[in-house]
Amino acid sequence: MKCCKASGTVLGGIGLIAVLAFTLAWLFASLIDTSWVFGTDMLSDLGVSDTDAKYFFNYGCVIAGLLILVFGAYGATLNESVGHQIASILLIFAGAMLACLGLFPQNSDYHTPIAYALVVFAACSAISMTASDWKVGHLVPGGIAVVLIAIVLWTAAFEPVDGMIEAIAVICGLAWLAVQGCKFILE
Amino acid sequence: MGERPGKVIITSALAIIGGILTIASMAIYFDPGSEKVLAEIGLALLIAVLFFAVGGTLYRNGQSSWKSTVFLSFMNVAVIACDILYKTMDQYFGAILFLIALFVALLAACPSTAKWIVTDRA
Repeated sequence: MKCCKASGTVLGGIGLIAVLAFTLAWLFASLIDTSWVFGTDMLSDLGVSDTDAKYFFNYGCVIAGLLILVFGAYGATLNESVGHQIASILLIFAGAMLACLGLFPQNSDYHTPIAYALVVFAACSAISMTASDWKVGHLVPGGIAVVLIAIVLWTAAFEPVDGMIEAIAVICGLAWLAVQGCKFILE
Repeated sequence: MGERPGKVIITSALAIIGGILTIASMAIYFDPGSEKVLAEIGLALLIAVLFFAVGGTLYRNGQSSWKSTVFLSFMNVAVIACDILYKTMDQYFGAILFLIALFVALLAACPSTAKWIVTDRA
């Protein structure tokens, strides 16, 4: 990484704050909208809730998305390996898509294509980052990513409820981002 | 050829114990009437094989490279996590195996383990 320790700490901090922002938004939104059921209802349902939960969820998506965008952009300038740079650039697009999800909730025509784009960008970024971590010898973050990717694939293959697949994929995505944040702080 | 460091001995011992416990759990919790009997047996055998593979690598004349060993260790963690999530293994026993596998993976990823595998193993 072509940076000093302070730059890595700032970059990691941005990633961890993004994770915290989305987690808190999801938590508060689900506490306010008591009709929303974890593992059964889709996450996007919170964005069109009849209660104030929609404000928490949509603003949370926008804030977390912008933070992920900054995390990706900053990471692209600090990382030296091509694989890490590609992963960081893909993360910029994933962050932009997450922010757009907050701006275009489920009742918008743009919501579904944006959600699919978010999944593709985030998955490609995670795979690219994992491969690059493995190549440069960051085996612990790479190994944790392997575990998280395997759990998501397993869930997608064997879990019949879409809401649970989405919830586990999002939790694994947040865990991956937190691990990446810690990696930059400790590096 | 240097002595095996304590960390490597502990890692290989934990991996072998994990493999034995997995085989034991399969025997203890075997239920021929279960709908998921094939998954219960197959996944337990896969976990045991991965444990023994990692344990064997950390003995002299082991074959796998350091990166392969760490990859197998983390794959083992992933298989145990999926096994627990989809209830094809006793939850408490699974939690113990998960912790053992996690310790094995983290110890295998240590730089001192890497140094021993790359320079001193054989």
